[in-house]
Amino acid sequence: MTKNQNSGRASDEALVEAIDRSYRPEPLLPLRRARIRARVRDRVEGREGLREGGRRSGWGIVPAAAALVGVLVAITFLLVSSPMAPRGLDPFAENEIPTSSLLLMDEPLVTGPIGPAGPGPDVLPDDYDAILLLLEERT
Amino acid sequence: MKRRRERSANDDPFGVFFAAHLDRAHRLAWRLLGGDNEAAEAVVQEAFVRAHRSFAGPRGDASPETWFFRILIRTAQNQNRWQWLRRSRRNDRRRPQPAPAEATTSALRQRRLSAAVGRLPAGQRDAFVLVHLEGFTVQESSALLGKTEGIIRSRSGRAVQKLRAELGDLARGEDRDDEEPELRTSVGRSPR
Repeated sequence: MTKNQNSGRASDEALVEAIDRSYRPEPLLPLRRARIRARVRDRVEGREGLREGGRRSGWGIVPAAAALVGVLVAITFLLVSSPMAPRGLDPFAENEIPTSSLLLMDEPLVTGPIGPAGPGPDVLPDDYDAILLLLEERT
Repeated sequence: MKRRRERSANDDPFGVFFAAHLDRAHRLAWRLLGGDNEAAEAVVQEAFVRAHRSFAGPRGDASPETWFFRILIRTAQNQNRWQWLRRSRRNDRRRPQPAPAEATTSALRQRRLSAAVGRLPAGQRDAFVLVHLEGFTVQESSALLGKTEGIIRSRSGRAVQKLRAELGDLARGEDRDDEEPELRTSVGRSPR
């Protein structure tokens, strides 16, 4: 090993030594040691509580429950608003009169429009004429 | 409750392990995190909590110390990544800036040394800290960092080169004052 290599190595070692002395934290004071110990202990005991069946459930259960409720609400909303969801018959909608009941009748039920503008599907033609007569008499 | 806690602190094997390794764990975490006190405390806490989870369980061939320091180093590396991400989200990717080269007081010199180590790439800094500052062998460092021994040697060597280029004047004692005559000595540690 040459003299230059020797001096370079010694220089590196001196540099590392200087860094080792300077690049280090302040010693942990008893208060900080106690604080770290207390936090570790609290977290460890919290874990053990969870393992023992939720005796110390902590606050972790609250967001989990809130998330579960949120998911249930979202699923319900999707089911209700889905176009596949079953709906009741609208009595005022023209297209929703069951045609099967019309076909079973002996004669046509109505001649006028069906729905709120007309007399409705269960009014027979005779009654319709009678109603018209009554209206004419009154007017 | 208090009595139970005192008893667990003294008799519990994990309590004994905690008391024996707290100082070294804190110093190692502080050095790996570039001198961040709060982050070092958080990492030490997290590492001990994780270690407690499987303290009594199987650890393979590793000694308890190696096993625990591996947990600590991984936690510190995760913390470093999160810090880098946070900094990059704030568009603040600056690394610690060097103190002026003409710094002569002890505090400024310490700042300069810390900043120089803090600016090393994470892999080089980890290898340098473990091998040169914490006294782990290359083989132990290789096991702790999960890299081959060749990579550890190469990274720690490159770290020393960079530090020499930046702080060579300190090693040569050019800006040394009378407060720190030890900078002139050559009794440093070499990698084992």
